[in-house]
Amino acid sequence: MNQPLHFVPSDEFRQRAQAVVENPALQKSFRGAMDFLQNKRLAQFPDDEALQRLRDLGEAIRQYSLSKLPDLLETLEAKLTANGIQVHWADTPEDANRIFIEIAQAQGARAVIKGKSMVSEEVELNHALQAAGIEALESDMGEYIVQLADEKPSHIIMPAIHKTKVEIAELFAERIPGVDYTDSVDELIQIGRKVLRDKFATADIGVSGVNVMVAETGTLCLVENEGNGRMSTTVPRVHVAITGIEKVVEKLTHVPPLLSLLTRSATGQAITTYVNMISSPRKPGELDGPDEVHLILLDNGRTQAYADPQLRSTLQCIRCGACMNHCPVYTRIGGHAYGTTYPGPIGKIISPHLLGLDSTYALATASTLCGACAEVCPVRIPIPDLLIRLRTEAYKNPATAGEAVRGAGSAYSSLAMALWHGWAATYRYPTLYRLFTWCASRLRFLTPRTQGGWTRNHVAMQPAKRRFRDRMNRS
Amino acid sequence: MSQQNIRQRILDKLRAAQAVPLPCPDAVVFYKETMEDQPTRVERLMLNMKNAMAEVHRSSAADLGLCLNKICSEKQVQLLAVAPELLPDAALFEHMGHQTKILPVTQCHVDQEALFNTVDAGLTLTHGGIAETGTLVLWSGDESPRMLSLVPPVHIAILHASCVVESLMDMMIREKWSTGLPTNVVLISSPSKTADIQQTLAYGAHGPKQLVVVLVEDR
Repeated sequence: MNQPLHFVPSDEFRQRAQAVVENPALQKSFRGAMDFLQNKRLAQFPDDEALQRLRDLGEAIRQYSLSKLPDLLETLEAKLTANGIQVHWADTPEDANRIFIEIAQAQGARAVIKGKSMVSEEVELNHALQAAGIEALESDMGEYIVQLADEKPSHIIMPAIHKTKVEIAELFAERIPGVDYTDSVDELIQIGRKVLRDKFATADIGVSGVNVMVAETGTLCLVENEGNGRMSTTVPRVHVAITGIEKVVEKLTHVPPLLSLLTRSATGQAITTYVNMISSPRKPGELDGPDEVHLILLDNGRTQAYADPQLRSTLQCIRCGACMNHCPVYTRIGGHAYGTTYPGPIGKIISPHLLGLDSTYALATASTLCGACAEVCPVRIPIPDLLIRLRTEAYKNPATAGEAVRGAGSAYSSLAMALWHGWAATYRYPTLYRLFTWCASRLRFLTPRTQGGWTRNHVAMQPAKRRFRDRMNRS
Repeated sequence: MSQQNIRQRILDKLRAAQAVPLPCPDAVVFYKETMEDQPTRVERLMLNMKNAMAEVHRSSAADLGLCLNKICSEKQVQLLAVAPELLPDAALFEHMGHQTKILPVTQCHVDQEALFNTVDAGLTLTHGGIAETGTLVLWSGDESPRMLSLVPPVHIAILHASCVVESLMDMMIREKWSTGLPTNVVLISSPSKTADIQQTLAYGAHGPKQLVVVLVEDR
């Protein structure tokens, strides 16, 4: 699983999904985990009217921030720089990794300890660091587990949600030197704690993501439960934060409603154990904290989503994961089947901008458009509308597809398009329709035995011997 | 491409979209302060913290030293790392039994080894408390290092009842946070925890396994 998961051919996606659907243990695992998260979220929002008002506010804050995004980024950069935090801009994952490696090499860094960061997964930072001879260790317990297993996170909030404790117990006993098998969760966590403590104390650089950036104060806000985020941003001499350009708000007072929506929607907590607000490196006279703080701002296709007024709403996302927790498709196929860094409904609408529609259009079709994701989204992203839009983009004629989404038109097939045109004409002209149905009932023996997706689960369709029209006329 | 060019390209692309400016949402009005008296609010904070597995104690200002001694002896704290802000208050430590040694933290990089390996508990003041979520607010500063509330297995936090407010928003507005924040503000609402293994809650992930709050009832 260590190979880059950049390309998602639709048949591979289907095979991966099929494999999960046919695995009862995984089905039980995901169903249980999703029920757990759904119930925890629901318990945090007992008053629906209050929830709807808070969602309105969250949506308004995110839309307002996006409407001023270029200005806010400049204000943020100026404020952070004045506070002593160094800001770097990255167009592509390669840029981001190059910037990171330059910072690391300037420090002579050998070891990096990582707090949880999905953007670092998006750019495959660990891969790049490994290639540059720098050790990168994940410290979030879930991330540590998937790294130990040579896998990728299957959920953006709970990375190891696909694993049972017995699997984790076996993994620890096999991969951590001197560890005996135990399936006590407390003992497993203490084993992880012990291994990682030594790493916090000796790592040269700590890495983190960011949940919200505040332009007016130049502040990076991070939420977490374990304390590894605080460790990574407090103990090593250098802290490097990496995040997407969309995660900025203007005012500090915009933070409390977003945090409240985030933690309650994600894990059903009124607040996480720690909310960490970082506004500068260690100041002279202070006893601890990193001497240097860097922020890498990543574009990687976000400006493409931004350019289109409808697709822009994709960037409202605060990465709570509620859409995947409530998605009937995610619940059945899990996070790995998608083959992208961000799985589930949010992954289906953000990945085409990061990777291009040519490799991701199949994802947008893997939805019943039931709308559960939009119903729970704390910032009201109209996910089903965006899925339909992306499908439309994918099936456009490449010659006239336009530039709204890279890879638009890649699902286009001239044969399919000709068939649809024929179908439309048949239904437009009564004479043609009658001719078609007359032929269909006479030539019914020519109907193919396999009819694409239909015959995977159904008996093949065949036209009736006599047309409905004829039967009506005769009686 | 140079850093400057990348930055400019990203900003240019965003500006080219010509997004329609929207009115700034007022998040403050959303958080109306509940009409509670201070003691009720403090009770709520303590209840919320207790429900989140924090251990809560109460003490008068005069008896704080005794209270700390009781906590330290119960928890068999042999080495207590103390934030510089608390050191001048000798009365805090005069009751401390001989089983508990005090480590005055003056330079964290010097004391880091001890903090990670031998210190049993870290003692800090708090900037304030938030009733709504049962949260301690800690501001970093010259005399308030960040590691004491994070690295040792037990964190003992002194909270003055008069510093408890309703919500984070409330505290931000009252104290005009938008005019300037310290290097680090951290909100703490429970001992360190994780549910990353099969959704089973376990305490003491990377931070303190125990969080002890000592509420000082000011007169």
